[in-house]
Amino acid sequence: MDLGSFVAKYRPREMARAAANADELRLLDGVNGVQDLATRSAHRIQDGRRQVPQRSGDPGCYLWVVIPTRIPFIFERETVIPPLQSGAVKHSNLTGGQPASCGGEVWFDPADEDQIYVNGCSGRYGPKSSDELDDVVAVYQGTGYRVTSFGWDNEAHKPAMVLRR
Amino acid sequence: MTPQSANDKFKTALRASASSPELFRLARESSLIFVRSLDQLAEDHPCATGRRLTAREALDAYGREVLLVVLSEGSALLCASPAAAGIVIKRRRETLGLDRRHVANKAGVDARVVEAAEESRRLPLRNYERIARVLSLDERFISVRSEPIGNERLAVRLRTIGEENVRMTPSVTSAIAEAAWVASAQIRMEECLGIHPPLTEIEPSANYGSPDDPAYVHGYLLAQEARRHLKLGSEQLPISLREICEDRLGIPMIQAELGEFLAGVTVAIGDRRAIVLNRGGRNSNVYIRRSTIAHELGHLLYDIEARLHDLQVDDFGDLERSPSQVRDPVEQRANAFGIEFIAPQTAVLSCYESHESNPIGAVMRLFGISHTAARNQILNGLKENRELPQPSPEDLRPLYEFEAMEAYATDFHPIPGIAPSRAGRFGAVVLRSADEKIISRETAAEYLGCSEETLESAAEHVRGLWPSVFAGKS
Repeated sequence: MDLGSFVAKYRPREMARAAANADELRLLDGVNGVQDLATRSAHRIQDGRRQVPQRSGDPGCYLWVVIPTRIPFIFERETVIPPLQSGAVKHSNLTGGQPASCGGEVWFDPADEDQIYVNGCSGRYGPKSSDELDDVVAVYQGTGYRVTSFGWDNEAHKPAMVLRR
Repeated sequence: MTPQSANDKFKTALRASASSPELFRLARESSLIFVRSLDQLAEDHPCATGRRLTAREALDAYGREVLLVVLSEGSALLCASPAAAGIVIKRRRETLGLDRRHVANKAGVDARVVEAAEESRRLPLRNYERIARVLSLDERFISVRSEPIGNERLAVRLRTIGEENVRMTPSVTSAIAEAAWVASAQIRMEECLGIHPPLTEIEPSANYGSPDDPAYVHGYLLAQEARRHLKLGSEQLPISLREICEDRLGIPMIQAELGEFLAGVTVAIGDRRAIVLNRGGRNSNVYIRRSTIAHELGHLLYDIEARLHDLQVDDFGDLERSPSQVRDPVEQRANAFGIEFIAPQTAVLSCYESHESNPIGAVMRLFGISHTAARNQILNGLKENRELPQPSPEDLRPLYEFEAMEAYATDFHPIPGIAPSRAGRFGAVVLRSADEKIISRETAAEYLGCSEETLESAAEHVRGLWPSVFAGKS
């Protein structure tokens, strides 16, 4: 599935919950370290930020969202100037509080540039079904990455938060 | 108050850091339901297949901070590490010295499921919970903690005893471990319900006698003291040991299958203790079973802390001996306590002497004790060793009223097929906890091994059988 088909199938939706402070709506851009996962070629992952995750929020975590033409992503612990009130980047900093089709977390493998680990853990834009998560994984695969998905947690009816066999 | 406003009040109190008692009260009034998987706690959703928990249940297990994250993010991570669940299960299984096949059999799952659980694979939470309960682990913390939570010292002691005592087969070990889980859960739910063990003025006694002052004499005296404290007097005969333990002393009594040799066990559950009573072996005779309960009660009420281990195992060997013939002063005292507690010597002699025909049978029927126990108590009271008449074959068959008194609903429980270990007071405590949203109906049904529909249809009958559990219900 390509990005356009995904966005057509899963129309951008409003944030599931309001911002806790004004800083959570500050739109970050390339100057702050935001890159685009939809275009594979130019990703720059700093040394020490490539990690293999076990759980949601583990070190090396980047946040991503799907908006109509891009998949902006940013290191969750990126140093932002001026500092964010919450102390960490939120998915809403990738949208400025605007609608998005999906959101989650991604990690870049330290030994294999083609390998990424993806989940749908976003309280505001997370996928609503296992099909939606599978489809967004297909979008990533379409960019040339080998994707290990955390999968869907049927018991909680939420994206899985732990990478298990 | 409408359900919605009760839920809003609870959420507001959570965010406002209300005091714990207030928060727990509002959680009980709330109809919010959470759903738990192996890894996370989430808001309920009709498509979710995990364990549904009431607000009180979730708050009790996972705390305010986790619930706040669920309310703001939709779900919260519970998992300590991907390997935590398997590490804890494997470690506890090995501590108990059980093999996977045995655990699987007791948990009602395939052996491959136990193996997969020990590898922390993604399995239905219910499988993890069932395995946890067999191993006496608190199933609420599976995957949440990296260390075993629930009866760890007991598990170590079970292993130690198992290595010394060939009678502690894997079946017996797992039956005791599971019974300890039942007692732990019962105590936890009773505390949530505000049912606390009644205060008694009974103090442990360090007096186990001396060569000139045998321990059994102290056992008799302590039994008389206990009867006075419990206001039993010498007239109140016969007595229900089950009722005294559970209703009057707050000691959980769990019935289990412990094989041919073990009569009963006392286990430490935090700062409380419970009795695990063998339903089988010689205890299948209710007269012997009553002696076992009274003997264990003697340990629990009067043994000093240093003598009370996390696990005390009593076999049938000494139980039916005359107290003076038992070597270990601790057991000798408990034996004397047991017989004097059920059948005070003065009352026994009075009964014996007032029946010209079949006097020993009359003693057995009045007090609900075995022929051996009756004989020992009569001879001790007469202070002479004489030939006593043999009881009739009919006397050797216990009266049904004693079976009804002690087994109570175990054999005729309103929930068909319920495990004996869960068929006692535990079942009533579970139902009341569900009635008061301490736990969900789903958890209650799981605890009792039945469907929610079966639980509903049996509910009124269970309430009627255990009025003391439902007395003062809010």
